Amino acid sequence: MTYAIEAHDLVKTFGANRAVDGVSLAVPQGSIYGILGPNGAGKTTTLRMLLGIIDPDGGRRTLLGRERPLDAATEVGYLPEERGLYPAMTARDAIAFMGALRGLPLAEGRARAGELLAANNLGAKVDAKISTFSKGMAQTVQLLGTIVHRPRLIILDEPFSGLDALNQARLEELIRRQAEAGVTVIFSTHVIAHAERLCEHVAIIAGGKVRFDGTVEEARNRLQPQVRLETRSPDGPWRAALPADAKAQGRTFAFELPPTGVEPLLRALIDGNAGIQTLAIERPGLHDAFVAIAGADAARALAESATATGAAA
Amino acid sequence: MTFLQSAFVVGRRDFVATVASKTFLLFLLGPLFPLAFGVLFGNLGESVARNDNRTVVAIVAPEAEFREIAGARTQLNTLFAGDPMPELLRVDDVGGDAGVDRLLADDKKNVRAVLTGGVDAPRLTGAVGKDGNVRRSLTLILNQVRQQRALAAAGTSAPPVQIAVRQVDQSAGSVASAQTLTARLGQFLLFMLTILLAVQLLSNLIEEKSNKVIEILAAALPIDAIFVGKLFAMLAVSLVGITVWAIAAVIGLSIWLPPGFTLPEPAVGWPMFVGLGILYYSMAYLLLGALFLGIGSQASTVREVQTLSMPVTMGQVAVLLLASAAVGAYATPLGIAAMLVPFSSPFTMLARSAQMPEVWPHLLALAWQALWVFLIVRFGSRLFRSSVLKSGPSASPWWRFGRAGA
Repeated sequence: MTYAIEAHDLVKTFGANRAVDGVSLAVPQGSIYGILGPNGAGKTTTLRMLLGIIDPDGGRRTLLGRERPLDAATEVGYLPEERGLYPAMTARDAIAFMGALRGLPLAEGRARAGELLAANNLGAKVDAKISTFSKGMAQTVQLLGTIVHRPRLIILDEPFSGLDALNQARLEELIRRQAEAGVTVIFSTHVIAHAERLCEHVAIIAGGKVRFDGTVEEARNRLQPQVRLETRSPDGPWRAALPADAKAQGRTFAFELPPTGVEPLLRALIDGNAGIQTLAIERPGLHDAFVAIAGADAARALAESATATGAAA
Repeated sequence: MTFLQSAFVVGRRDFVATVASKTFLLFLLGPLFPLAFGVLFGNLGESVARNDNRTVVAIVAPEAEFREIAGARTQLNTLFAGDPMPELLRVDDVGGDAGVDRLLADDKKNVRAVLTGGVDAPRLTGAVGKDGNVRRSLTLILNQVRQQRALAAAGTSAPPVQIAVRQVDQSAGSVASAQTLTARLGQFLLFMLTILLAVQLLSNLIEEKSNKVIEILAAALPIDAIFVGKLFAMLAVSLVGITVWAIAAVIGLSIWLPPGFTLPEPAVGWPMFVGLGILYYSMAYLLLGALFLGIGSQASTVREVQTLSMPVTMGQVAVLLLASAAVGAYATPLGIAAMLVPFSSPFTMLARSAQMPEVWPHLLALAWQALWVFLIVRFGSRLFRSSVLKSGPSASPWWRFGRAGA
């Protein structure tokens, strides 16, 4: 597998605060990769180090195979957490300027900007000044500026924060389209639902450390599926087939699927004449995986971060 | 992208944003304001000065003696430029010191001093220095009267001297003083343009920092390229302004100045002097601008920039004083220091070009100044990365432009 980004033991300290503490990542080329973590987990600092905006105190990284991130600048698009546009510029000029920063000739950038704006319901605002735009519209302009030069790698820092549900859905769609075109997309988020819907790969970061790096499936597979069982009577010889820590509420039981699998369980219940009324086996979600991997405190902080930035899905 | 392409992208944006803005017209009209105020208040001030500086001396003397004194004053007054002799006012005998004091206190006559005792036993009373201008002027006037009386008593007279003049275009003395004047004027003009225009760079990065564009720029381009782009964009903006002002000044002067008026020729000749003036202005702008950009990049708000402006302006004045002291003294330790200190070097070298014809020292000076521009930009961008972007020490060597973010 080839990787768009590889980072090994990245370290960054601000004063006494070790913001990033030995982060290692491998972002497969062409994937949608989410970095999940609460505020202060070290996501933005990690992305800024990957982009070369700041230098790490320790460790090394490659971006599209280059050791110096700026050498890959023309093939990378970046949407920072704090959005930035010149308010006196028109939407077309702002997008063309962002393309020019990445090596796209200005005239071509202006032409592409017109097309992109039209395709994103902003065709009538092509020559309007950014200062007249709503926040959502300005964010769309900035996002279009991030992709106008047709990069191979897009890095989005908290792209959903501050967007309403409609714009969040549009952004998700845009990310999917980029990935379908073979572009690697890496984004940070507080919101598990976005990562769960979009990503093939996720990294879970908390306290400046990577707690997990792998596919969403692998994260979910860290937990056993949950079984919810309803029987005809609350007790009987079949109870011996249930795990000792199964939670019982009358005739309803909840427990992790035993490692032996579903068949031995079913056989034991039927042979014990449990009188199965309902049996549901639920695969754990990414949220459950996050709690299991990063801990309940980190999960709580993640939820608070999402609420604070208005990025909840 | 190459370093120059990166700098060009930033510079082009800044140049277009500045020149295409409505406020740029105000910038171009800027020099008109002091000019208009200068003309208005100059005329007003001149008439005020005429009234304020009028010195009146009361002469206590009989009518005939006063006429002699007033005649001598008129003769002497025509020999000097301006109107240096005090005005004279005849008064009758005022009756001793008490009368003199009353006369001095009279706010209708506004008399500065009173001369009693006539030509033979003159005594001056008033608010004047013991060896001040009023006493010296009256000494000249009374000497003139005495000499005329002596000649008249001897039955002879001395006709006024008439000096015949043969004019030549120039002499060693006139060239030297004209070139010194050109050196000082050139230096002052260069200083004024630099101090007025380069200070804009103090607040140049505030826009990007406040609207968060800096993060996008820093992710795409080397910080050095951002600094260089901004520096040259603002230099280009200032050169546009200077070109417009220079054209307006040439048109204005061609209308205003009398026909046949020529400016004193600098030692290197006018074309070379103008060329060096543009190069030294550019260097002075880049040197100070790079410093201001570096200092200003540390500021987060306009208020911080305003606070920084004061010491920066004082520093510039110190530079001018150093360069000014070096005019005509280029071989002295002070002159050499003024040529070597990077910030005073452009001012000193421009003055030198007005007074000394050699061209090669200017090539050395320009290379020296360019080296310092490089060093200051490099240092400023490093400081910006480490203190504003909170980056750690970069892995790339400090002298290498362009590929920071390693």
